[in-house]
Amino acid sequence: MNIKGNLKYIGTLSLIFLIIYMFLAAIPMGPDLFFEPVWTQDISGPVPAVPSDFTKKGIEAFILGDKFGYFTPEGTILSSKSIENRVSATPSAWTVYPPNTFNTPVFFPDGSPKMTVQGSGFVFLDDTRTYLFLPGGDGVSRISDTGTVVWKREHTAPISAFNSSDAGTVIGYADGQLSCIANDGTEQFSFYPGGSDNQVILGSAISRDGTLVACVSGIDRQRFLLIRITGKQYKIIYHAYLEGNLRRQAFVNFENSGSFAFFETAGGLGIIDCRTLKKKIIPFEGQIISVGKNAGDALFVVLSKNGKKFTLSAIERPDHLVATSVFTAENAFIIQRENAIYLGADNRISRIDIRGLK
Amino acid sequence: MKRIACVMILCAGFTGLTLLTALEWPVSEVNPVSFFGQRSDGIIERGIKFEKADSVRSAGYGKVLLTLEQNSNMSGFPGTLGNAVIIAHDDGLITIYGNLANLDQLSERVQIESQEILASPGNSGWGKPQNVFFQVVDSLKKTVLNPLLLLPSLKDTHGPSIREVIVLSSNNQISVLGSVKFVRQGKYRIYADITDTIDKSASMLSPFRISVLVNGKEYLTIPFELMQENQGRLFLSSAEYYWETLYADPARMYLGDLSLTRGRSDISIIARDMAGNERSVLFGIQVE
Repeated sequence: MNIKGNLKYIGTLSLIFLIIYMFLAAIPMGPDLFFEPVWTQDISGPVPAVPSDFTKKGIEAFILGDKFGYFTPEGTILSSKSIENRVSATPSAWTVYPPNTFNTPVFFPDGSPKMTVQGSGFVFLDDTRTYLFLPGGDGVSRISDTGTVVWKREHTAPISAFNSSDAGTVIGYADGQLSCIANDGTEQFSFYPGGSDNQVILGSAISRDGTLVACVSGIDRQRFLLIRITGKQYKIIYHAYLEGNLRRQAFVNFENSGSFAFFETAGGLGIIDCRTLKKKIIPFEGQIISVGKNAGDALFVVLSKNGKKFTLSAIERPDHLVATSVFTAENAFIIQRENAIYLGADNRISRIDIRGLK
Repeated sequence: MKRIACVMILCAGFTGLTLLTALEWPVSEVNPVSFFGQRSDGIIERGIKFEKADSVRSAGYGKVLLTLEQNSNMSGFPGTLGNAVIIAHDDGLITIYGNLANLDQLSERVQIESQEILASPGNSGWGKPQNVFFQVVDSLKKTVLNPLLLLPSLKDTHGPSIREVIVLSSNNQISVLGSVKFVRQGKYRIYADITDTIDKSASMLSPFRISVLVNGKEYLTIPFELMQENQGRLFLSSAEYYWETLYADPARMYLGDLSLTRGRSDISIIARDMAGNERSVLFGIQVE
């Protein structure tokens, strides 16, 4: 058996072990809280020839290695396609394109055409929003639902951080500039957080309602900032110097209610309660891939990666690590929809429900 | 390094000569396919793209500021530099190396020596596979610099070429200079197809400076030295040279606006490359 085959085998076993492990809950999580495996599906096989119903509520997109497609909360794989090129996919649209693409077509989940994004660059579908990252590395355009440019921003340094929500877009640059752009393209603010020996934005995020922006910035005296936006005013409401230096892009995001922000540091995952402004760093090894931002009132789940080892962790609010589990895979993703967790690893996707929450 | 850069920009601007170099070539075999300021992939080229490179090297001593990784999962945005490394040098100068195969050789490294191998060319960024993207940014002055100002001289005996010079009247009437002998007085936009080649490459590259003279007096100049930002848009040398204006014509470059008054006008266009090779064309027209 070749190495790739072995890895897939190990990955599958690890995933099964992970689900059993989480089910048995080796780490105490409180008397009422447990994980319940709901289903596991293999995405490597052919999808049934019957027409898939892409209109079902709650369908999710997945990208796993050289596969992408859609599945339902009930565990039906609606589509699973092999890809050789780049892909961007959300529950509402997908696109696949080569590295030197011009005029990129975007499709609805069922494969019917949605629009063509005019121009050259990489298309990024972010929830219901579409962006075109321009050649050169320092420019991005917001794209309308018909494929036309709504606004375009360029800067004198490469984009090093990017995040968007229904309320706006935040862009960080390698020279340390942080810019927040409203949906119509007007600049809400643009400034250099400074405070470090070398300015750079490593990660940034904007809350769903657009009132908060968070970023990790600087090398040597790296720091975290939380910024409140009120109308056309912005104010730094919290900042903290961080131990050590990340010299790569850092994960930063808000959970959907805007009550908590997550940020990656050299020492692990930072969590800040945006109401009380209390911060905690939870030690993590490797790179944070994703935090379940649609947690509702449930636990936060975190997926991190260190080489080929992925760690799935659960955090009870506000910042109590209650469970971790390690598995081996080439590729993995996690999606959290309140109590439902969708975990993808190599050629399998599983649904695990968090039970026992009040 | 910044002082050297300033001296070089001044020297290059006034004399066309390169006296000192602050950076080394980021590839061992220099095969450029696009130069700073030229039309490239629907934008103005921010630096230099190289082809046929076997490795990518640091252009100078510095520290790794940041690595950018090709987005391969559902988190993160797809940066068009792909796998890239950004190195901070003295005085706010940063160099950017994009379209790398991977970042494995940079693992945990901070200090980088000049000419140290960073990576192999790859297929992670926007554009042709194996092309290396190289850019230089002055992070203090907030400008993108033409890397040629800071790199060792290229052997180059080829002068730029100037073709298809046209003037466009305010009512969109095109007059091809060299073919017409008379134009009406008024305001015109002047366009030309100006490219350069170097000894080692057949690629069409941008020149370093273009000047337009009317009756012997310098009327306008486009120096390909730096880019700045104005309200979220980059421009070359002055705010009238945004991408949308500079390369509005698919075949020619916009050089500027001319105001021609009655009488004879001698219009000269002079294009010069970084090595100092120069080409000029002269058109005599009667303005009625």
